[in-house]
Amino acid sequence: MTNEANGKTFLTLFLVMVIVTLVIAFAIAIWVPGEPTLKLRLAITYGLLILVFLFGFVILAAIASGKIDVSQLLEEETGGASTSRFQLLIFTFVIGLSFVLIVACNCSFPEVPANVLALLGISASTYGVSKGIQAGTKNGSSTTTTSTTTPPTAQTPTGTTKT
Amino acid sequence: MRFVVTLAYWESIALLAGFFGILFWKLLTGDIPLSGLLDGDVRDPASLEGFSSRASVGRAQSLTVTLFVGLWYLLQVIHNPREFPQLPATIVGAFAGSQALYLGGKAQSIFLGRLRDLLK
Repeated sequence: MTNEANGKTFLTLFLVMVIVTLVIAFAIAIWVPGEPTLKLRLAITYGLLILVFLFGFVILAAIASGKIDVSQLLEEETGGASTSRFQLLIFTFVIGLSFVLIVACNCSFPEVPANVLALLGISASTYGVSKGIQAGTKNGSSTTTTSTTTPPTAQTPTGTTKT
Repeated sequence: MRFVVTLAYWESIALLAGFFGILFWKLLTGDIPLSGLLDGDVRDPASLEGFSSRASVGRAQSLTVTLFVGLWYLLQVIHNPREFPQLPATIVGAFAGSQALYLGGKAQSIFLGRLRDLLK
């Protein structure tokens, strides 16, 4: 499916989701018994919850069906998987799952300790520095290519090292 | 209002579990390829491209430490899901050291070449 067709599909789905949300919100506001302020609060809350769920569901369905391509999530320019990307993904998983478990258990927003932030910081910094080294290689390779006698056709992959 | 909280709880669980599940499934089936995860580029003047790809010890140790710290952390949360667990300074230090070793090794192999070639 082309990008244009994908765009039209997502636009249609978006409109349907907004209409469904508005219908549910109005139904709550009209038929649920109670004070007007309470009805308004319930209508907005349920409406937003349903809208967020529908958005998330459409995105997940698109990822699962391959309309949103995540096959290159860990891939580098050279084609191999990247260790720094993989470890960043692992820590995002771990902290994300921990957060959901803790919120589900306490029903409140938890305090995030400094060492958790340090862990995420180290992980993200590794990815950033790794990218920096890669960029440095690119510049270094450009300098090298001007000083060597290698034919230009053989130099196309320069600077495409893995992170 | 209690039903709203329950709905929000199950909604977030469903979305996050779905997201992690789909990514995990794609990793398992190879839709997100992991080939070359432990291969690093090494400066190689003999190669036409200037670099060659070899198995990297730095990547292997970085991956091992990452998996160990990740699993340890997740187990701590499952054991006591009331708060984020406190990480001992030794684990943070070990993780930082592992990443520093990986980055140092990577910089050395890319900018200077293999260590055994340097020591010749």
